[in-house]
Amino acid sequence: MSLFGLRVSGWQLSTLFLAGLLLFIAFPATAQDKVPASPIMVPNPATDLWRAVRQREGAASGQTQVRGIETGVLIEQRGEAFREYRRRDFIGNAGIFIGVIAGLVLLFYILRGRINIPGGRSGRRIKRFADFERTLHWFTAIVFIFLALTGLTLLFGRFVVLPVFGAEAFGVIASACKEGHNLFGPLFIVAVVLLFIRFAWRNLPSRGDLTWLVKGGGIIGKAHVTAGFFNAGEKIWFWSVMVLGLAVSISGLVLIFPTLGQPRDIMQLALFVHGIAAVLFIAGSFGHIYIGTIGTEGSLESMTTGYVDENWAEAHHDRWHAETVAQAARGADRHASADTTGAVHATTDKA
Amino acid sequence: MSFTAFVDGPFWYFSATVFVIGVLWRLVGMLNMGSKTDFSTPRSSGSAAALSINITRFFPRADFWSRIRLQVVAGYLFHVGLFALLFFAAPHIEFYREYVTGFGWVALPEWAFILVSEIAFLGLMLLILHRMLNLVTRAISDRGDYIGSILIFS
Repeated sequence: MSLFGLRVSGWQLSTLFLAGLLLFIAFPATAQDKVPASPIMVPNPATDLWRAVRQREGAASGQTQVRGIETGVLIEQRGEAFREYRRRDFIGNAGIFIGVIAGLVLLFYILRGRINIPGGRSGRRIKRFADFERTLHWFTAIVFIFLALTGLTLLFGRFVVLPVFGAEAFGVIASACKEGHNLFGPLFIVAVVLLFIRFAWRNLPSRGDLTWLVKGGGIIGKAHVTAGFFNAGEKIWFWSVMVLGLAVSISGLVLIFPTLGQPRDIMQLALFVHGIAAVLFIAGSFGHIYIGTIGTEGSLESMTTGYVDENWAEAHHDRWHAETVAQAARGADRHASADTTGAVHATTDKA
Repeated sequence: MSFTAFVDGPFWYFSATVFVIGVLWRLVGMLNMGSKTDFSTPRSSGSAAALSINITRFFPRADFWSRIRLQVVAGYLFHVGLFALLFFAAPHIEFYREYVTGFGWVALPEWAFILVSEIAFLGLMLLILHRMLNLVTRAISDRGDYIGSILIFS
């Protein structure tokens, strides 16, 4: 082959071509080192398409062969918006709310202190709760505390547990909490139903409840506030447990079975309701636990032994006390007797 | 060592060791108790009476029902649930097939597996609480009973 009068072979021509190509590539690169050049904008024809898909207002659904809930939606913007709301707004506000309620309970304890039994203990005990009622109460309490701890870990763990224990440990903890929460959740539904069956009739509104509420259960003023087996505060807590229990139960079932066909909107609503109800439940439980333990002398033993001191009963549930003592004195339809320790075995034991 | 490797390795062997020691402890304890000499002469077939008692004791006497219904109901919930889990949960059947029997059988569907787990947990929790809260059962329970209950729960 002749090139400009020179005889060159095929491989020599190929080598020459490659060398020229390399020089062509190398020189502009060298020039770029010296003079910064603006990047070449190469429009991606898919960009506009995906931007349109992602930024549109509604969740417009397309056509697809896949049959299922929202399978025609390529990118669901509201899912991301809900995630942002949950992380930025809900978790922060929930943490503040729980912290404030815990602080208020502590402040109340500091200001008011423990409410002792007026006149001290009498040494005579009255049966208040049957075995089954106490078993049911503690069953509910244990399941509730377990669900609260695992739920709070799932809610706040990313901000509280993860920085302390690291990613791998948090992954294991969060996974265990989720499985445990899902396993014990249905047990809480059983507990709420049994609580309703056992205690609802004694928590119906009765005379004196309004007065009790107006006087703040004795906190406002020093006058004695009359009450029956349950006072108005306990009744409010009971019905709160029923309403909130129903809310967390229904929303929990929606969340625990995501394959039943509910759309994303319902799942998000369930997560919202579950979170709100659970936070209210946990905050409310602080007051219940406080009053039942360190807040009031003699209250806890009603749920540990089933008995309360007679002076406690007279101070906090005078109408129930009067009825019980009168019934015992009459030796009424159910047996009532005084044992060697002077205990009055009263009449509400049905177990 | 990752957590998963730990659970699949050393922790599994630890759990298996605790299980074997626990079973042996129970068995040896029962065998050591022995049996008292039977001084009474059966009026009829002792075997038939034993069989009869085994069946009739499945149901509580009507006189006691109001006092023991919690234990009876919770006891059935726990034991029926545990039985179903032990013998009809898919992973357990696979274990028996591979290491014990050489063959498998029909397993519970997942929803039924979850349901019987819930039932077993419900029964066991009620029984443990009843043991702790009832005056009589609390008086006749010792540390071994609570340890056993907690181990089963775990």
